[in-house]
Amino acid sequence: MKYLILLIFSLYCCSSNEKQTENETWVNPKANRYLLQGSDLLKQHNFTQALAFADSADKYATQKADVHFFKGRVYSELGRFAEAEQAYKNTLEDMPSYNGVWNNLGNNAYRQQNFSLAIDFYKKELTLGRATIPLRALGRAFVELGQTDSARSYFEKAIELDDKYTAAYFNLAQLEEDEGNLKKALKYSSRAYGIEPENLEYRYVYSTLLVQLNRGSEAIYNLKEIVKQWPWHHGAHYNLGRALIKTGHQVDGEKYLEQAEQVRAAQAKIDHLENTVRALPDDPYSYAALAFALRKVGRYNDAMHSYKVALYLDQDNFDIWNNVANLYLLQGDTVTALATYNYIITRNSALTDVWLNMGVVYALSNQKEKARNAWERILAAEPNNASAQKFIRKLNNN
Amino acid sequence: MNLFNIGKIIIIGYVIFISCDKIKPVVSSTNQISFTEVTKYAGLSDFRHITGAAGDKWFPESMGSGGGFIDYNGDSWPDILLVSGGVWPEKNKSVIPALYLYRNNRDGTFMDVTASTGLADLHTYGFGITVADYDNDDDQDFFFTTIWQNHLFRNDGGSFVDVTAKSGLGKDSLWSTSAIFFDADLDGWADIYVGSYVDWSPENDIWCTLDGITKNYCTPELFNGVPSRFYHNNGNGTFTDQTEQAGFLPAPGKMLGAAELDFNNDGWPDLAVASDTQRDLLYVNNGNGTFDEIGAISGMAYDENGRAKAGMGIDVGVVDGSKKETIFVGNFSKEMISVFRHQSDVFFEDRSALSKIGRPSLMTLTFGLFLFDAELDGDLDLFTANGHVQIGIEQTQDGIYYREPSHLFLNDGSGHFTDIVPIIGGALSKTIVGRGAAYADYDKNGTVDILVTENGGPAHLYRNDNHLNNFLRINVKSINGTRDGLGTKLVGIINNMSMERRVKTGSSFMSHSETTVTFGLGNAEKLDSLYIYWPDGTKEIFHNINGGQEINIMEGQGRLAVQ
Repeated sequence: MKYLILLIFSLYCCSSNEKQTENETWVNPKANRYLLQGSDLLKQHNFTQALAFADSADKYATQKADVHFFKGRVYSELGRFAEAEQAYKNTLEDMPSYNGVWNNLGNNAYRQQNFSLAIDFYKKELTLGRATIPLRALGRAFVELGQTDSARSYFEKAIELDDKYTAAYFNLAQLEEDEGNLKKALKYSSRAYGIEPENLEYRYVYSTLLVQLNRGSEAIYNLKEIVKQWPWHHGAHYNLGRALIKTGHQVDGEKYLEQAEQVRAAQAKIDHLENTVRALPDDPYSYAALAFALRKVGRYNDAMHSYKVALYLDQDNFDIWNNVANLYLLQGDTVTALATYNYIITRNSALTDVWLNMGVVYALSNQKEKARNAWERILAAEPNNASAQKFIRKLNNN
Repeated sequence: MNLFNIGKIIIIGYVIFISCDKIKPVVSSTNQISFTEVTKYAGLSDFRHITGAAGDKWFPESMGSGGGFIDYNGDSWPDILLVSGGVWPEKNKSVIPALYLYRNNRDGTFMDVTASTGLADLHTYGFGITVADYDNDDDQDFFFTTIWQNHLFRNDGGSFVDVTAKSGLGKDSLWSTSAIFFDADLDGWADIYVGSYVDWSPENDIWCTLDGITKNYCTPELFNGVPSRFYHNNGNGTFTDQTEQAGFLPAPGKMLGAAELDFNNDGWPDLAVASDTQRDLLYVNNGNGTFDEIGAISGMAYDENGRAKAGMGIDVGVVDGSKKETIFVGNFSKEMISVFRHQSDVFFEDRSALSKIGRPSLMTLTFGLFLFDAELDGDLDLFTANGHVQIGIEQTQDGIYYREPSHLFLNDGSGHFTDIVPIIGGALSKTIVGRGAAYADYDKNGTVDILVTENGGPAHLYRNDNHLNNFLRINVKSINGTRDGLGTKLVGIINNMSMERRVKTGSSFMSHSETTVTFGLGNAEKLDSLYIYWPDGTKEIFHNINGGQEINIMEGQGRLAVQ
C-alpha cells in the first residue's frame, strides 16, 4: 500500500492545478514500479519514455485505470488534448469515480480556452467530493468568462476548505486587482506571499500592488530580488524601474526600464511562438523554435520541456537532440549532456557538430583523451575541419 | 456622484443662507439614457464598408475604416463622411468609391452628395479621415489615409479638390491609419501627424492560422512597424515633412490612434499615441513645436505588468474633480481599456481597473473610443465601438465573439464608470463588428449622437434620446490660432464645479467628431462662467450664459453670437 500512496502522490503533485487524490486501487507491484519510473521520466519531460513505461505497466496492471490516467497526464503535458481525453475516458471506463480525471479534463479544456466546458468538468470532479483544487480551478475558469462573482465565490470556497491554500488567495488578489480593489488585492496577495514567501510569483504580485498603491519604496527590495532570480521577467524590470523613478532614483530607474524593453522584445517573440505551437501542435520545429527562444532568455526548464515535446514529435531529429544535450550542459548537468551526445552518435556517427560539442564537454571536464578522440573522429571524416583542428591544437598546447 | 450631485450639497447651503439658488441637482439615472438606431430613417442604410476580401485573408481586410462628421457646406449642420474601404486591384474587377459624403437635410435625414462634391472618382483602399480648416479660409477640409498614397481634400465652397500633390502630403506610400490635425508650434496653421501601421504588402503577406489548418488574419506582431510622420503646415497650402526634426523619430510604428492633450498645462499641445502591440507613446511639446517621447517614464506606455497592449482608439479628457487629464486607449480582447490619469510632473497613474472600466472591457476588442457627455450631466462618459478581428474567434476562444456590443461607460463624476449597455439594452447592445466611432449633435437638439462604422458592414447612426438635461454648445473661431481654434481649452463653471473641454481633431479610431464643444448643464438653466484659453495664451471669460442653445465665440470679440 505504501507503494501505491507514493505513486498516487507523484501522479497528482506535478502540477498545482492537479488534484490530490486517494484512488485506492490494487495494482500489480511491477506495474506500480513502471508507473513510478514513468512518473520520474515525466518530471524530466521525457515523454516518449514515460509513455513506454506506461505501456510496460499496462502489460502487468490488473487495474488499468492508473495506467490510463498516467497516460492522460503525459498527453496533457504534451498538449495533445485528443489523446489525453481518450486516456482519461479510458480511466473512467475502468473506474468511473477515479479522482482527478474530471479535474484534469477541465484543465485541458481550460488550456484550449474552452472555459464553459472546463467548468462542466470541474463541477463533475466536485461531485466526487469537495476539494480545493477543482474549486479554485472553477474560479479561474469563471474569471476567464468575465463572471467574477462566481469566480470569487469559488475561490472563497476553496479557502474555506483550506485557509492556507495560497493559490486561491493569489487568484483572489488578481481578481480584486482587476476589479480595481487594490487594498483588498494587497491583503490577499500578502496572505499568499506570507504563507509561501519563497514563491516568486506571489512576491511579484505583492510588489506590483505596492507600486500601484504608491508604496513603491516598499517594493524595491523585493523587485530587485525577483529581477536577480528571473532576469527574463519584464514585469519585474518594469515595475522596479517605475518604483525607482517615482522614489527619485531616475537614473537607476531608467536603466531598469531600458532592460525591461529588451526583455519585453524577447518575451514578445516567445508569446508569438507559443501561439504558433498552439496552432501547429504537430510541428516539431515550432516547438524547437520556442525552446530556442526560451533558452535564450534563460528559462532552461521551460526550454527543455519544449525541446522534449519536439523530440516526441520527431524522435530522429538529431539537431533537436543536439540542442537538448547543449541545454543539459547549460543547466550544469554534464553527465546527462554527455550521455545525450553519446546517444546521438550511436544513432548517427557522422554528425560532426555533436562530436565537436562532446569533445568540448570532455575537455571542460578534463577528460583530454576522450576530447581528442571526439575531435579526431571529425578529422577522419573531414580532414580540413577548422574547429576540430583548432581544438586539438589548443589541447596539445595545454 | 456627479458634479451636480456634489453641487446639491453646496446648494443646500445657499438655500439656507441665500435662498436664491436656481440650480437644481441633475437626475442621472440609467433609465433616462436611451439611444435609437436611426440609420435607415436617416438614409444611410445603403452604405456598406467593403473589405475587398477575396479569400486570401490579407491583413488590412481585418482593420476596417473610420468615418465621421464634417460640415462641408458651412450650414452648421453636421454632415457625414464615410470611408468605404476598398478592393484589391489584382483580385476584384469592380472598383468602388473610396468615400461617401452625406449632406444633412436638417430634418434627421441625409442625402448622398458624393458625386456632386467631387469625391466620387477616388478609388483606393481607405482607412481614416480627419477634418480641419488647414488653410484658414473658414471651411472644413479633410485628410484621408489609405494603404497607399494619402489624400488632402480642400473645401472650395462646398465641393472638394484633391490637392494632395500640391500640398506635399502625397509623397509617401505607406499603410496609414489615424491622422490628427493640431497646431504643434502654435503658428496658427494646423500641422498634421499621420499614423503609420506596419510594413505589409501582398508580397510579404504571412500565413497565419488559429487552428493550424485554415488561414486567418494575422496580428501585427509578425510585421515590422513603420514610424508615423509629422508634416508642418507652411501656411501656403503646402506641408513639409519634419518627422525627424520635430522629434517623432525613432518610433515603433503600428500606430492606430492619436489624441491631443496638454497634460502639463503649459499651453503647448502634447500628443498621446496608441500603438498596436507596441508601447503607447506620449509626446511632450518642448514649447517650440518639437517633442520628446516620454511614454515609458510617464507610466502610460504599458500596463501594470509592463506589457504593451494592442492600442487602437484613443481619447483624452478631464473626467473627475482632479482637473488632470486622463488618457483612454481601446485594446484587444483579454486586455483592459487603458486608463491613465496624469498625476504630477510627467507621471501618469494607471487607473484602468480603478476606474471600473478595466474589468468590464476585458472581454471585448475596442477600436473606436471617445469621451462625451452622454446624458448631459456635466461629466464626460466613454463610448467604445467593439468588434473582433478574427472571424470565427468563438470557435477557439470561449467567451470572445467576433460581433460585440458597444460599451457606454457612464461616469459618476469621480472618474468611476459603469457600463450601462447591459442594463439599458437597446441599440447599443446590438452586436456589430465595430471599428470607427465619432460623435456630433446631428439633429441639433443639444444631445450628442453617435456614428459607428463596421468592418465589412454598415454604418450606424445612434440618436441620443436623452432630453431631460440642459446643455450649452459652443463653436469657437480663433484669430491668432488656427481658424477653427484647434487647441482651445474651454472651462465651464457651474456652482464652483468645472467642466473642461478641448477643441481638437483626431482621437478615436480613424474617425472625426465635431469640434463643437458641448457642456451638459444638468438641470441648471445657465453656465455660471466660461473660461476660454485660446492657443495664443490669451484668456476670455464670460458669465451667465443661458443653456439650451448653440453659440459662436470669436477670439477677442468679447461677445457671444447665438446661432
